[in-house]
Amino acid sequence: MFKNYFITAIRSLQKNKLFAIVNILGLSLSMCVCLVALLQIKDAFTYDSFHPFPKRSYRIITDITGENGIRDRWATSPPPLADRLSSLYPFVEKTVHVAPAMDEELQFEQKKIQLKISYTEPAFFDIFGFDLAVGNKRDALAQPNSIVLTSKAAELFFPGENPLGKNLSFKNASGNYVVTGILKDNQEKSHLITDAYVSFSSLEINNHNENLADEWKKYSYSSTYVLLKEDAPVASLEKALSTISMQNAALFQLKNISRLTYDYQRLDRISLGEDLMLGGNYKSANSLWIISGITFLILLMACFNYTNLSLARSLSRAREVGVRKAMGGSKRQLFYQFVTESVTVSLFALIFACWLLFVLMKLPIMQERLLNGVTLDLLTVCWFVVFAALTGILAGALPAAVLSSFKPVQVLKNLSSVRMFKGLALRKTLVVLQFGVSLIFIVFLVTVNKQISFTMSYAYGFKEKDIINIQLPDSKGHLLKHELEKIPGVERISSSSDVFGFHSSDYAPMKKNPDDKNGIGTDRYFIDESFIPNMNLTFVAGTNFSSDDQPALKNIVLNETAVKNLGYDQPGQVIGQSVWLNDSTPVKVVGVVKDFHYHNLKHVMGNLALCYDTARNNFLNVEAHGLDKGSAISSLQTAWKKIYPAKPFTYSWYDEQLAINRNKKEDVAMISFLAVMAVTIACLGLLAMVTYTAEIRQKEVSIRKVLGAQVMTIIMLLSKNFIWLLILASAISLPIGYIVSTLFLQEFAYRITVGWQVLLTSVFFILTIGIFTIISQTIKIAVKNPVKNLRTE
Amino acid sequence: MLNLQHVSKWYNSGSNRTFILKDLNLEVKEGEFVSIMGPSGSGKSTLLNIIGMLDEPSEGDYLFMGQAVQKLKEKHRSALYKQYIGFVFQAYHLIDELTVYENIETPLIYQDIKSSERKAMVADILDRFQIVGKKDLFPSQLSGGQQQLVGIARALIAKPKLLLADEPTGNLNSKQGEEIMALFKELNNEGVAIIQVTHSEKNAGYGSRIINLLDGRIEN
Repeated sequence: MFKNYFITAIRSLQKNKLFAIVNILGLSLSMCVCLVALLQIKDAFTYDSFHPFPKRSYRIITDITGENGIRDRWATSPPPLADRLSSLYPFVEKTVHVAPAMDEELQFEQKKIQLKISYTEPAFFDIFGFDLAVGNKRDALAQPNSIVLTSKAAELFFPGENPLGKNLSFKNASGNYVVTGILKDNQEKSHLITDAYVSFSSLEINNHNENLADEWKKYSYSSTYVLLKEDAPVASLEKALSTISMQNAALFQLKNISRLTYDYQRLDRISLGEDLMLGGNYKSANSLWIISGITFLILLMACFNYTNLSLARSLSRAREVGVRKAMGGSKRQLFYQFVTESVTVSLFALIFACWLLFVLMKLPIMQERLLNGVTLDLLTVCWFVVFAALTGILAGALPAAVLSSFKPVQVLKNLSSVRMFKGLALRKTLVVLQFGVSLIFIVFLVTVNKQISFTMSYAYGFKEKDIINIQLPDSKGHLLKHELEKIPGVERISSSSDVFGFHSSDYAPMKKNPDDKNGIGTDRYFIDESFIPNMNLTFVAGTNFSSDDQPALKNIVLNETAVKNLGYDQPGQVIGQSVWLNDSTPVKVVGVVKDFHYHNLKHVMGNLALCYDTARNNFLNVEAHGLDKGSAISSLQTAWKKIYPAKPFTYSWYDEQLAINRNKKEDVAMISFLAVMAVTIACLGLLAMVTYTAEIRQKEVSIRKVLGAQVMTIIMLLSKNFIWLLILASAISLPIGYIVSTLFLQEFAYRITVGWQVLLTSVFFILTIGIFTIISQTIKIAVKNPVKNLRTE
Repeated sequence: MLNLQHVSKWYNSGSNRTFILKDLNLEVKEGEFVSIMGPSGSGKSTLLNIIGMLDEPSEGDYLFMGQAVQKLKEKHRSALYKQYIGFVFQAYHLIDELTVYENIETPLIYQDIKSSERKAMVADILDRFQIVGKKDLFPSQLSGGQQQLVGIARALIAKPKLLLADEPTGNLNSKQGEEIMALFKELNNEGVAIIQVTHSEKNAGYGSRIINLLDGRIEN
């Protein structure tokens, strides 16, 4: 029986090529997007399932509400929590600290490599399923200054050698680290990603023997993982955590925190769980919901096409239904037949979609951003087939229900008398929906594009041209500066801790008086005396630092916003006054610069403090005039080689660096892709709808033409209804597009408005493309020789 | 075999009730060959459709093989229909997307007959109608007479006791028509009851009984 259904389906598709092409093309395009989403979802499920006790291992979450009412949930917790849990609560079998992975430059002899490292304890190997290829799990991380490398990292440092016992040094921490083990290559995915684990005990030594046991305030220091005893109820952990958080509240006056509680998450549910601060590498449920939502929307649009077109041509299938029923076919059997047909279409679409997916998987951007390490296996392919079948059922159920309920007497006796257009309102609704969704995408795309060109052209207010930023590997910057100054064409060199236009790395509260309870949050940059002239900043009051070192360290330059937020009316009033930054030492304000954007445009104007400190220079800012770009770099490089013979020269032209930062090319590409897809699917659907409707009205058109109607009149007659649908779709979705785009723009502190131009452009685009689609088909029917139609009738 | 008692069929158009069949009584015995005649609009096709369970009377009772058809559930009625009734149409109504073979096979599929059995049955009937050579052709590749032959083969494949034919020769030339009628006669001799609707006196003559219909009533 199934074979028969299948044969009919194939033959029917062959006979209706337009129908088949429109549906297979539309479905495969949207299915391809869905397959990517499916792969991501599948990937998310594979995380952290390889640990020995995933069902009774938990990570502790710290839930903090600040005094400003902002609530944050951290995947980390205070270091003493682990001890408290294991010493006071017998249901806890083991605990382990794992510090969040951070970048560190490791050195072996002359070889320097940037790696992600994380600090942890020996119990790590009891709770997590990582294995050692070389070394002993029990004591590899027991001693201070021990390090366990992944086999990849070991291969980078010691190709072909035995790394055990070798000494590595860190850029940001003193002492030597002895390699005590090599991790086995792990195919399974985990929210923990690091290149090396360092013994946790090293931390206390490196941080001047600080006693972590009392540091309840350092909630972002490390994550705590807890293994409960077998059949210990998780409720007891919950109770213990709430007891501890209450004790905390009584014991510690936590600064700027109004409420602190602990929560927990099971190890195998970290992936697909919530978004957490310092949560590690995984996809949260939220992000997957968004991805699935958008892809489902696009899939639905393609399904609409199938439903719509099947209903439109139900007339031509009606006779077959009548005959089959007269042959003894039941309604249910016919329903199955038509559903088989739609499933067949979607399976064909799946083949195309898979092919597209393979093409996409080869693109580096897809590999990096969407399909990182995702592979196709047989089970996944099975899921794809199930997914395609469900899509087919979704698309084909309604037309199958309509078709299979035709009464044989009616359809066999006189086809033209059959009222086949009951679904017209539904079909119109579907067309409106498709174009509505497309228009929303387009409005959004135009908005994003406009905002990006706005940020591209927006002046930050500091100098970006002719400046080369050189990243410094250590504090020997002054030597390099000395070398660079000799190069002809180099006008001025300044040093700074960070460069403007990106995030500032230092944030501190600033107070007008030392006794003030709350300071104003201030972004700090450490600079030298050349930096302000180099960046072309304008003073509204006061002056620059003098190059005289000692008093300069006690001086500070603010921006207008900071002055205003400190409570001064005029910038002049603050000159010579003292402010307190972070600690109890007062610094004197010597100058106030005009406000400018030192962050990206997503942030509102903040409080800026420029402090004099040449020891904290991470960058040299070289102003080079009249130099050819290529030769400038090569002479800079020569100078660099003299000071740092072994280190790579990292530089960028400031204006290019900022342009890359501002231009969100990949996001635009993604939205454009989705928009193009939505429009294509909608147009394909409209094209076929118009074709079928026009064909049904051929006889009417012929009669009208014989009676003397002009071609233009006929085109209008056939197109009018569809054009109204487009206008209706625009009317409905313009406000939605406006709202969505406005919401998106809230992300930016400095933004465009979604003006009537944006809306008008989008509507114009969609109407043009829609009307073109409609007329391309109606014109064919309108210019046909009427005699032909009437004769064949 | 079947018995219609006081059967009426009407449509409501506005405030008027238009009768297609009016208080009609008819009995057909097993093995009979009945021809229904009458002018256009006299209700011939409607009567045939009611007998064939494709349509329902507005009033009156219909007994088929001793069972009251209207009182049966959809499932039972369908089973009864599949087992006993075959339908032949004026316009052949073959399914364009299926070959001759597949068209004939369709009713068997709906009766959930096994594939091997279906093969044997279709082969038998192809042989009998001498259309074995055409089994892989599509309906559009056949002449009208051949298409109707396939239509009849399809109606007979499930070995029905009653063959209903709505102007089976209406679209054929006279020679093809005669062949079809001869075939009907032969089938009737084998014990299949036939009810045909026809305009042609000559075709009606093949039957054992003629019923004349006028304005929804049987004329005597």
